[in-house]
Amino acid sequence: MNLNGHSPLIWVIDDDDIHNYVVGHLLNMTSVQCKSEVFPEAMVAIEKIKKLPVSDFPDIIFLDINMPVMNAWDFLDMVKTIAPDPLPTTRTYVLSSSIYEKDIDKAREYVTVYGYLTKPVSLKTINDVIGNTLLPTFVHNS
Amino acid sequence: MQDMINTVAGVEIQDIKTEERLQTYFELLSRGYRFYLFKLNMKAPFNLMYISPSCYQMLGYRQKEFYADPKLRTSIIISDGINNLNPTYKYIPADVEYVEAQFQRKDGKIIWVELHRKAFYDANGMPDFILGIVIDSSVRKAAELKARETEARYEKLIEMSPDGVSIQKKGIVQFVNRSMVELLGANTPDEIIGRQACDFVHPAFQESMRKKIDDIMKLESQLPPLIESRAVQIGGKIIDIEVSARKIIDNKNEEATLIFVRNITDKKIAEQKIRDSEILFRSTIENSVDMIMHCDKDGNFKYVSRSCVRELSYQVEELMKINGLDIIYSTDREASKEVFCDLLNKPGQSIFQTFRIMNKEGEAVWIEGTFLNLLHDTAVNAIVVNIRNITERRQSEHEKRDLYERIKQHANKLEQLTYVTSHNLRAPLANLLSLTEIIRHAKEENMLEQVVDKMEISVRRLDSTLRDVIHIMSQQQRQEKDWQQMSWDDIYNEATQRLENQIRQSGVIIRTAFKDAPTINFNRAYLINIIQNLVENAVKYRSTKRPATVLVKTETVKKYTRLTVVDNGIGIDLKNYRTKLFGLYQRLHPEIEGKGIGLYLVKSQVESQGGYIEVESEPDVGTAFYVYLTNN
Repeated sequence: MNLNGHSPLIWVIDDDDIHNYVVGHLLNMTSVQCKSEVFPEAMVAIEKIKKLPVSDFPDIIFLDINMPVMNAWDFLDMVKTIAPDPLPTTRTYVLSSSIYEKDIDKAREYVTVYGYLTKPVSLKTINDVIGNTLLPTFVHNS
Repeated sequence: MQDMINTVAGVEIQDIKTEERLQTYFELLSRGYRFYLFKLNMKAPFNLMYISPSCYQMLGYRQKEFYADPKLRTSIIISDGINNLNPTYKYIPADVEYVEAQFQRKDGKIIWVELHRKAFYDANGMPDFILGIVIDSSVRKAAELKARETEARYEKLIEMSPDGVSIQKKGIVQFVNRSMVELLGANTPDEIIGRQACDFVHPAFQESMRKKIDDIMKLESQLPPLIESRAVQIGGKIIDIEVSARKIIDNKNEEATLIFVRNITDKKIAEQKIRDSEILFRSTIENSVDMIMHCDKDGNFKYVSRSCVRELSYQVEELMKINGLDIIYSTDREASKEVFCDLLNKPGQSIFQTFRIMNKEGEAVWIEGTFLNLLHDTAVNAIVVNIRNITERRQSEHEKRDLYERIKQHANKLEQLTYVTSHNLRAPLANLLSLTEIIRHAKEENMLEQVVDKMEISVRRLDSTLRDVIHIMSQQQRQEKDWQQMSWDDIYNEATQRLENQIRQSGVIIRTAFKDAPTINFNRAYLINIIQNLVENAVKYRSTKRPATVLVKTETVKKYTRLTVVDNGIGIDLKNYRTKLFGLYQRLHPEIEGKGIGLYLVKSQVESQGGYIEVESEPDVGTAFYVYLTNN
C-alpha cells in the first residue's frame, strides 16, 4: 500500500456501537489523515464489495468476530467468493475482544487476514497499522 | 512171547542139532516180529550168535554182509536199557524180562526197540546164551517222545503265561503257575497248593464265584464267560481279578477245573480315573459360567450344559427338543443361519459371533462366543458351541457410552459458554479501557459527558452479561431435580403469565391444543423456560404483513411427548443459519431486541433430559419448533 499523496480508506466492520465510537475518535487523532466507513452489519460491507471495482477496495479493514447474522468467518468466507483471495490491495485485521486461542488460530487460516488485534485498541496501534510498521502481524494485545 | 522163548530155548538146550529147524521156525514166526538170538560164553567176548533175517533187514543189512563182519555182532546193540553192552555183556537176566533197547542201523540211525529176553544156562549152571525177541518200537517211541515234548511245551507255556493258571479238584488247589503265585502274593507254589481255592476269593464274592464256576462246569462251553471278582492275597491285600474257568479231565481220568485269573486292579484303577476325570470334566462344564452346547448339522441340540438353564430359563429337556437356530432373535436369525451353514463346510474351524437369542420368556439375550465344527470328529460329532451372556456387559457399555456422550455434551457446552462469555465480558471491558484513553486525549470539554454515557452503557452491558452467565449456570445446575407430573394447561398458563402484556400489545392470537397429551412428567423450571422462550419468539418475530397466529399443541409421538409451537411470522433462513439458530449469543435478527441465549437454553434443557428439538421454517411464511420431550 502506497500512501503517497492520498489518505487511506479504512472500513470498520463491528456491531458494537461504543467500539465504533472509540475507533472513530482514534482515527481522528491519527498522524495521517484517513477516511473511514463503519459497517454495523457485515452483510452491508459484502454488498458494497460486490459493487466496487478492486481498485476502490479499502486499504484497511478492521473486522470484529462476534456479530449477529454474519460473523467474521462468514464474512471472510463470502469475500473469497466475490473478490480475489487474498485481497490485492487491502490489509484485513481481525479486531476482536476475544483472546481465545481458537479464534486466533482460525484467523490465521485465512490468507487475506493480515493480522489479529485485540480490543481495546490504542492510538499507537492504529498509527502502526496505518504506517504498516506493526510487527509481528498477529498480535494478541495492542 | 515168554512161552515162545521158553519153548525155543528148551529145544536148543536138549538138542543142538535141532537148531537149524528152530531157525526155520523163527523165520516163519518173524513175519511180524524181529528176533535175535545170541549165546554168551563167560570165557569168550560178547558175541551175537544168530540174528533173524527180519531183524537184520530192520537194521538195513543183508545176511552175508552182516555175518561177514564179526565186529557188527558186537556193535549193533547200542544199549539194552541197563548195561553198556560193549565190550562184554555182564548182565544175566534171570527170567524173561522186558526192556527198552537201542540198536544202530547200517545207516547209523539209532532205533528204539522193545527187547524181551531170557538167559539160559548150561549143564554146569553157567550162563550159556541169551535169547531175545525184538519188536521195533521206534514209531511208538517217537509218538511218546512227541507227546512228552508237547506236554513239556504246554507246561512251559502255562508256566510262562502272564495270567495266573491253576488246576483245582473238588475245591482244592492242585497246581499253580508262577504268575498265579505272584498274583496271590505268595513266594512259592507250596503256599497255595493243597489249600481251599475259595480261601483266596474275597468273602463278598465267594458265593457268586462258586455258583458261576459250577455253571461253567455244567455248560462245557468252548468260550467260558469272564467273571469279574476280587481276590485276597496271602498278605491280605485285595485285588480285582478277571476269572475264566473250564472243565478238564486230568491224567488220573478225574474231573478237574482249570482256572485262569488275571489281575485287573490297575485296569480298574485306570477305568476309575477315566470315570473320575469325566465327572470332573462334566462338573466343570456344568458349573461353568459359559453355556456349552453341542448341536448337529441341522442345529438340533445334542447336549446343553446346566448353565443354559440359568441364562435362558429353558429346562435342559426343553432345549433338547429345540432347534438352536429357532431361538436366535428374529433380527439376527438370517445372518446367523448363513454363518452356521458356512461353518458346516469348514471342518475343524471355529467362528466368533455376537448376536441375540431369545430366552424362554421371549426376551433378547445378548451372547458372544465360539462355534467349533467338530462334526467330522467321531468322538464329538457335533458343532461345539461355547457362548456367554453379555447382556449386562452390553448394557453397561451402553450406559458408559451414554454417560460419556452426556459428559462430552456438557464439556462442549461449557467450552461454548467459556468462549462466549470471555468474548461478551471482554467486549464492554475493552470499550471501557478505550473510553478512558479517549478521556485522556480529549481536547474538548463537552466530549467528556458523551464518553461517560458510553462508559455507563458499557458497565451496564458488563453487568447484564454477568447476569446472563449466572442465569445459564444456575439453569444448568438445576438439572434432574424438580420432577413433576403437570397438566399442560397449568404449566402453559404459568409460563405465559409474564408475557401477558407483550402478547396483548402484539395482538397475536395464540391457540392451544393439549388434548392428545394433556399431562407430562418433566422438570418444571425447564418446561416453563421452554414454553416461555418459544412463545416469546413466536410473538417477537411475528409478521406485520398478516394477522399473527400461533398454535401450541402437544401429542404423543413414539416414546416422546411432542410440543409443537407454530407461527406464521417472518421465518428463518435455515439454509444459512440452521447451525447458529441454537448457538449461545447468536442473534439472527439484529433489528429485533434479543440476547441470543433463549434457544440456546431451550435446546440444552431439552437435550439434558434425553429429548431433542427440530425446526422447520420458511422466510416470510412461518416457523415451527418441534420439541420432543421424554415423558418420564
